[in-house]
Amino acid sequence: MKILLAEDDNLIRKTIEIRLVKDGHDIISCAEGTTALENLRTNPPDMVITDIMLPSASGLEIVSAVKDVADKPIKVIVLSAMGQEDIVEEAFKLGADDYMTKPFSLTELSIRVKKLSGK
Amino acid sequence: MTSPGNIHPELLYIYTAIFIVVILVILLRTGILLRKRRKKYQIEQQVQSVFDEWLSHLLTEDFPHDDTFVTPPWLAPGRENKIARQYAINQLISTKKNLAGHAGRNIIWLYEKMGLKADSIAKFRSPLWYHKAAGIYELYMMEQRDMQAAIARHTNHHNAYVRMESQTAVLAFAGFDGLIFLDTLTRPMNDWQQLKLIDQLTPLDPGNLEHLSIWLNAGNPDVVLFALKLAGLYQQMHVLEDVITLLKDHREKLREQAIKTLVRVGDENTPSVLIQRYAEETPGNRNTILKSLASMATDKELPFLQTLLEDGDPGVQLQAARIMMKCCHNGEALVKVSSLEPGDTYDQLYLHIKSEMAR
Repeated sequence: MKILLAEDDNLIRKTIEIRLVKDGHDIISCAEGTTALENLRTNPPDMVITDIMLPSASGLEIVSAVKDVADKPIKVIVLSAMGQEDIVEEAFKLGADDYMTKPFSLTELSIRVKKLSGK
Repeated sequence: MTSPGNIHPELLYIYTAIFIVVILVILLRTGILLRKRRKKYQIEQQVQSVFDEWLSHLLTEDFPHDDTFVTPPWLAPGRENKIARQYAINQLISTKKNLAGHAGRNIIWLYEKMGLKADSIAKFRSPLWYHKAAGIYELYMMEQRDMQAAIARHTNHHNAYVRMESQTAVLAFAGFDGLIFLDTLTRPMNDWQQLKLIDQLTPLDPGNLEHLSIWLNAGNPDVVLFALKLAGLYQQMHVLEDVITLLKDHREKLREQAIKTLVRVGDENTPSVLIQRYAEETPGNRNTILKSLASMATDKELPFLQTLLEDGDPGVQLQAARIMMKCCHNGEALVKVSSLEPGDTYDQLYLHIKSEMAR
């Protein structure tokens, strides 16, 4: 499965990437919102995992853009910090499928990705 | 008065020389500082590229938690790796905020195994407040519970930052039991710190807060204020009498918080207790009493509210009418009758509240 990962923390992004590659996924990782949006349009993934707070374009903009580019269903998992419940709710309204609150477990993320991908 | 022409030339040379030396010292110090910062930045950049890659692999692996683990040479203890080790501590803390479960446990194990805990303890023992505060932060973020007793001794530290970090640390270690520091706190605890601690305690079970009564009677007004907030938030009915006593405290801020807390811990007599205090209170606290009554007034409070309809302050009139119409059985009729009397004040009030209620 091709996954677009948008996370600005270099170490967290790298760690998630390694874990998901181990699970057999192809990862396109971005540190900035605008890069993620560009990738979304030029190279549409099967799933998007995005942090809410990103530089240059927010996670909500990415969730919102998924609908516009999708000629196929793209699943979206939102990563949020504690106390961002309102934004998560907004993300669900915009079409997010699942969310995880930081700090989260990599194993749990892996399970949720599998579940959403229907494997 | 000395005119410029009277200044001795030698004196001018001396002043000029002093001025040039001062400028040179400032320039030299700035240069050294910038060089240090640039060096630190360069080292951090070098470390970042290696450390992030190294740690991200470790966090996703099931590596054995034993002596087979070897700390990389660029992170080994020693002065030459000071910047790299501090970068490692910062990254471990930042990562721990983001990752839980197996990865979270790996982070703590690595912190201990690489001897980074010793670096944090050295900072904690430093006489400089900013090192001490940073050391405390690192130790509680890395869940070093064996340091709890030592850190707890600083919860009343003369430096506000050290004090705040210590208080946050003991709560991180012991939850509500950590609040025991309030028994002996004599120094200030600002509103921001109170908010932070309350936020920290939110997901935990408060139990019955046995020392609450002690804190409500403490000599430190900040402890009393914080205890009032706790009593209200966790609806600690057993301290009702203490809260009522605080309604007569000489400090306005404490009385205001006592009014707010009373709404949460009070009983059927609370509205009349508040009404008795109304005449004695400042305009701000009177407003707080009226806001409180809006959620708890009954028909028993009607006579008092009707007297407020005659108040010279339109804001008080509006608030009283609002409470009558929302909380009392025939309150709306009474306000309406008043509105039919000569003058258009009550009529406007009545219509305003009706439109509010219709929203």
